[in-house]
Amino acid sequence: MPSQIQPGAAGKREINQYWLLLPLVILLVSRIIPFLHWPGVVPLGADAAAYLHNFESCFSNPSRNDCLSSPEITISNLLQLAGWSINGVLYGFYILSVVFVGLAVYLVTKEYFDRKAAITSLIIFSLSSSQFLAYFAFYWKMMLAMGLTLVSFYLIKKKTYLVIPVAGLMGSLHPLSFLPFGLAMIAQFIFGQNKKFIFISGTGILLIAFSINWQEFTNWLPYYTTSLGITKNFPTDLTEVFIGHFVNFSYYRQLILIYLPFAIINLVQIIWKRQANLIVFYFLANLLIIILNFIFHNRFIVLLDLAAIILAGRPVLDFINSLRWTWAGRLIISLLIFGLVTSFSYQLWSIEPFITDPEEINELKSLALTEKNSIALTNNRLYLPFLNAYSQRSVIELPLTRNNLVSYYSILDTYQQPIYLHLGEKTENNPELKNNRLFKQVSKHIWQYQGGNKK
Amino acid sequence: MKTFLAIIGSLYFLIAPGLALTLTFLKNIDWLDRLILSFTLSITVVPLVIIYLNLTGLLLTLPLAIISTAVIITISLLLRDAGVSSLR
Repeated sequence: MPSQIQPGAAGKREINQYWLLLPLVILLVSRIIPFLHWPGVVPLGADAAAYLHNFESCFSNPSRNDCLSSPEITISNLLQLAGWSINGVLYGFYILSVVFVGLAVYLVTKEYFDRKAAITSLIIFSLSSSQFLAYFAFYWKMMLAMGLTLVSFYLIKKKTYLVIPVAGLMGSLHPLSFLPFGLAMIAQFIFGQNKKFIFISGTGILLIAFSINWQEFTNWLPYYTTSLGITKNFPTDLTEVFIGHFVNFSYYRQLILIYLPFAIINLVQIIWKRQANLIVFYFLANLLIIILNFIFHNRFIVLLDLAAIILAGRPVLDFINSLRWTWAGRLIISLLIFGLVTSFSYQLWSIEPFITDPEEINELKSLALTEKNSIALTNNRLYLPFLNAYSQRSVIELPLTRNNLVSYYSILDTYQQPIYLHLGEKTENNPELKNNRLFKQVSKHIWQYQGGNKK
Repeated sequence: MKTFLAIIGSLYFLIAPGLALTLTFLKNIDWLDRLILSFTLSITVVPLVIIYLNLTGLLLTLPLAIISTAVIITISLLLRDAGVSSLR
């Protein structure tokens, strides 16, 4: 068996590249485990159902306006043309994207710091609870955008204009990921060197991103012009929607307690030396967005975490190197590794998908066998993607409260009948609906509305 | 046979165009860097070309995808042969 540390050409001890295999295996196995843990259901987040619906419908009808210029649809269609199944595109490519992000963490850390730090960062990435939670939430577009962002940082460091198509597509694919990247580029332009290169590539990136997805950019513009993009300035009913679907910042700080101090050490060192480092700018841009509560600020935690992992690599390695020679030092290192692995394993095993009962998925699929003109109804918006994906019927969401019971029926009566109501396990117990003579139970989670005009 | 075609298709769409671009514009990088960059450039450049073709009215079909990818590969390699080796 070859030694793990080998002498390098320059006399320095270089780490064996085979060490890369360890985090990659952890990454792959941990991302496959949810599929084995939850067979028969959608093992990852509710967004999976929404993507399934979009990918299927755009592949069968590619001329639809919203499919034409959508990067994720183009990638999905391309993969399906290449022979991938829809589940392969949905899940296989998603897992491939996670591995891609891991390798991009390695690539960018190696370029900005060194190879040993890069392998350390990749190990932290593979054991990061917050990155696993992001994976579990099924951010298909964001995962790919994260990888593209990191490779863009590498290409900027290499000063090659190949960054233009890479970051341009990232911007059009996921404008949310583009915001901190853009802010970091502006900071690099102001404080860094190679201003001409940054200016030309930045202009090219913006041109590509806007030319493809200008509609989404203009959709968000009013929120920035009227409320500066800060969720606290929004009307109360919108605040909840725009905080972003991910863990909040307080919980995140608990998750990354093990490597956050190391990231801060590196951050302070770089700032102290007055170096213009794009990764530092990226970290600070995300931190600013989160602290100021910009639109979807919780989602930026995933990106902040990515920057923290890259920054933490070098100090973690130095810390291990300085402690590993003593008995007490080895104990501290072992405790830290044990803490990281335990926290990660706990997240991995304890997390549950939104729908845990395979029977409930089958019931949703059975809606596709009802009358062609029927309508699927839910009173919980979290079930919308599942109904859209599986029912193959028009779907309406009508939240029920004790105060709108009367108007509830009158609204339902305005719709085409029959209407099938789905009340999932995660929906609040609605005795008003379940024990109502106007709703006839069809199966465990499905009721048919009996009132209304037969149009 | 279907799996075999999917593997060939994936290599063609997800690696080959990016590999041609890296061979032309990025010298002196190790094999792992080249692999990561080949995937990255393939997954960005091919969809970009297809999206712009879509917007001009040419809808994505298998022949169009194969031809556009082939054009990207050919142009990259021609540039390499012509000695255009830097995008700086």
